[in-house]
Amino acid sequence: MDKQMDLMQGTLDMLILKAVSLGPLHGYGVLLRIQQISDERLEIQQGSLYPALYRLEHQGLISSEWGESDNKRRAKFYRLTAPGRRRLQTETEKWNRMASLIASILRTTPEEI
Amino acid sequence: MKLFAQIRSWLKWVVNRQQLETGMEAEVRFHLESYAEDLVRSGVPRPEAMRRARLEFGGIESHKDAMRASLGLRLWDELGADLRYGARQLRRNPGFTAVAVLTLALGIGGNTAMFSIIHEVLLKPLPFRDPARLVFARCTFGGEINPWVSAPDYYDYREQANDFEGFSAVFPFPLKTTVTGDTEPERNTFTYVAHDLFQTLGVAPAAGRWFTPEEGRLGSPDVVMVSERFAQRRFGDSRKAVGATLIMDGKPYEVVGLMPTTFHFLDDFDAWMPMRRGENMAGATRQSHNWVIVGRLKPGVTREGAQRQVDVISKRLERQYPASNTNKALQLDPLQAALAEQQRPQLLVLMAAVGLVLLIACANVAGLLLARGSVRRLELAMRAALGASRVRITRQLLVESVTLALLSGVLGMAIAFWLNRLLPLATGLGDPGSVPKGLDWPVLLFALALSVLTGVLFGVAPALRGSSSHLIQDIAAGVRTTDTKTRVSLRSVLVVGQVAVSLMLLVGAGLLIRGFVHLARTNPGFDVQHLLTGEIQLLETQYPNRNQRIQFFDGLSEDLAAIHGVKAVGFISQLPIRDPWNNNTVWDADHPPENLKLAGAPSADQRIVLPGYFDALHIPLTIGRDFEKSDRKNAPLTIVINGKMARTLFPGLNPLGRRVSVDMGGPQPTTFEVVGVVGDAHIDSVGDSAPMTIYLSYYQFPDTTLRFAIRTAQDPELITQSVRRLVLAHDRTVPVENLVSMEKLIGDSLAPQRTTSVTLALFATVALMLACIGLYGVLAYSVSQRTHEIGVRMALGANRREVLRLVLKQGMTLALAGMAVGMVAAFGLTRLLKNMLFDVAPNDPATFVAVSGLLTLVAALACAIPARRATKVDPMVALRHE
Repeated sequence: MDKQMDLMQGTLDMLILKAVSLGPLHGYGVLLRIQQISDERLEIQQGSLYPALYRLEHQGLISSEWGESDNKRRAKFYRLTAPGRRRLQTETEKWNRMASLIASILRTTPEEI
Repeated sequence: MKLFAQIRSWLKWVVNRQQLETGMEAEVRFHLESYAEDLVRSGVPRPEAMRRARLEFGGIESHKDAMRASLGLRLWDELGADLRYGARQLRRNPGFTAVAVLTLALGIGGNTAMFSIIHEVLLKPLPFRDPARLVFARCTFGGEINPWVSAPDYYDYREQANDFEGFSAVFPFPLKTTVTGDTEPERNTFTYVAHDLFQTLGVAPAAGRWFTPEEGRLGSPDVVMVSERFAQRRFGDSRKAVGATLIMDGKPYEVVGLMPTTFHFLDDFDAWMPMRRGENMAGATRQSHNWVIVGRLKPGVTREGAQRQVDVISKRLERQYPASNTNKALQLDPLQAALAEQQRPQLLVLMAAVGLVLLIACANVAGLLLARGSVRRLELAMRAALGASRVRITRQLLVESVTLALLSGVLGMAIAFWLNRLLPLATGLGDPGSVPKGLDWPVLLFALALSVLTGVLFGVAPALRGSSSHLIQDIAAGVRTTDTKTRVSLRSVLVVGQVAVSLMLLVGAGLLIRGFVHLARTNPGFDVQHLLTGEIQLLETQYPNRNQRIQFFDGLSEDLAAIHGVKAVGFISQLPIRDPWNNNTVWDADHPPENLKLAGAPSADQRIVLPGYFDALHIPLTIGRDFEKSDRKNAPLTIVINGKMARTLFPGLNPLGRRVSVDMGGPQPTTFEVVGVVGDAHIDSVGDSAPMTIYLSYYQFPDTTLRFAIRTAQDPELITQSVRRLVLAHDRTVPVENLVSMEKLIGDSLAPQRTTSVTLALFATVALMLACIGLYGVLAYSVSQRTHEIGVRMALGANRREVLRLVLKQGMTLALAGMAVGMVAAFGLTRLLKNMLFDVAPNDPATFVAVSGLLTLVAALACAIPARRATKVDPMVALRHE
């Protein structure tokens, strides 16, 4: 149970970092951006986004400031910091290595052993 | 880096909490409304859109909680909640809170006060530059510390040792001089120091300069350094002092430097003069030991290394001067440790004792908490049932006890502050210059740490016990707050421990008090009652002639004896107890020691007296005669010796008419004829046995200073005014100093021993009281728990006496078990007091028996109250009670 949660959490962090790496976004914007780039295939409970955003900001990976949204309202915008960019890069590499490793394991056929 | 960012973020939000909350609120609202608007745009009706937005967002409060947790604020918030909850609990039980806080505050206060003294005397670095490199050098004979060093030896070490940056001597006793000039004559205390003493210590003058090496040589102009305090007093403005001329004992001295008021070393001196080789005490022989040395090690040199070098020099001196330096060496110790050597054992014993008192206080409060825990079981079980984890409950209970301890800590600080004014005054702990000025940072930190530690210490057992409730049983048990067996037995163990510790403290205090009583009752060899003592110093310039001095004191002695109520008058160079030491090597002139190896010869305290001294002090004249007018200049030199000296030098022989040689520091020894033998007197300190003593005639050695002891018929303080008037009538410029009764002198000399024992007795009493309260608490609680059982017993025919015995037996079993444990521990521990006990064995049976008796009695009293209450149980009420 717990392990799955951790994985989910880690994944969400990575998605958020990716989303704000493309430009400053407010919380709702992050949600929309993730849904957009994932082609609506990922289902995230909307509220759980915020603890993750706070955690990333607490760790100094993103920073925030209040600004004005498209609909002329006060909103809190998040942007990627330099440590956040480095983290996104290492996480991406790690993810890719892991994915290709898992993929190659799953591709293994009985004859190859 | 990352940790740093997190701490910064955490602190930011802890401080700007309100901003965080409104920000979260605004951010969530923006999200919901933006989503709702998007939904409206896609055709959902507005009320429905808002509903769906909320639904898809999830529980707003729980997400907010998670957001706070993301910032690491959860622990903080819970701690705050625990604190508020704990404070509410404490407010709701004012009786419990008051008792617990008072008990702990006593313990914490006592510990803080003791610690502040220890901090001041033992721990705080001396106010000198780089004090870790300072060493105290003391002379040893055959390994025994003497501690003074002779001037020639000092100069040899100074010239030959190169491990030191500075190696400076100081004459450790205050000397007196009369300052005259435009204003009234004034007495001040001064001493001689090597020209570079202040440099070695690393203390800069407040104004002016240090002595120059030139000023440390014979024949250079007379200069003096004075303390700021003295300069202020003398010149009105300390800035005027430097460059001014000071007339001391009629001789002019130029003031070259001013030492700051904060400077204190060995004593509170008004002035310092440069030590000059060949002058005053710096010109004495290798047998005259009257200097102490402070050295500053060169950087990188260890004390052990320097000690090896000094040892080589000692060996060389031993070969060079076998007569004076056989078995003589120099011992280097860290300066601070050496200065505090005398007080260290007392301080540590008292600190340990007061620590034990705190331990007993903790046990008491733990007992109270355990008892309360059984009442609170239902509340805790309920919390557990509502989902609080065991860790959470334990933490909450611990927060409660730490809150309690911190409250006590605050009160304890107040107690410590008060004790702090009292203890140093009463104990004479520390030099007058180093009396704790208040509670400084390390002391405050100590009190804080001690409070937290105390809170955890007394809180941990009840908290663990409280959180381990057996849910089902407890809720099933309902309102009945019965108790488990273990809870009672834990409290019993605490009580046994308390009794054991208080027995140890009582035994320690008992031993010290017995030792002190022995000391105070010691017969010093002279009659201390009805003696008024004082000191008179004539100005060398006004009384340059020996006959003038003799005339002055002879005349004064006669007139003093004529005062109404005066029975006898004695004059002596150094009063017993008040002016100790000053010894010289002595030997039988007709049988000088082999090769004149004087280091092996015994030494005797030397005193100079006017006729009538022995009579006034009630020191018996065993054989021979007192001095007479005829023992004057040009007459044969005569000497009176004490019994111990007679037995040592002339065992089994009649000492009268025999000749004694004394090394008085000159090139040749001086030889005297024995004319009388007097009784032994403890003249150095009450606790030390009487030293060998020689008395010389003032008519043959007329110095400028004499002290007097006047035997009166009544209270000696009554005649102080008459004495003052009389001396002024003889010479208006001669002040009388230190007028005080001998009894008070002796009392003051015993002050450290008295306060150590009184303080320890105080601690032991508090410990005994606390232990008895603990015993009472356990028993009272047990009786209230057993009301039902007792009721049944009585209903079945048990009479009151049997019930009384039942309860008493339970209580006294605990007390006796505690006493047995304490007895064994005390037997092992009192050995540590050995050096502080005067004439009492550390396992003195009388003390052990008396203390056990006292404890048994007090414990029985503590048990009697609940036992009596048990006998009052009405069987009918008790049975209906369920």
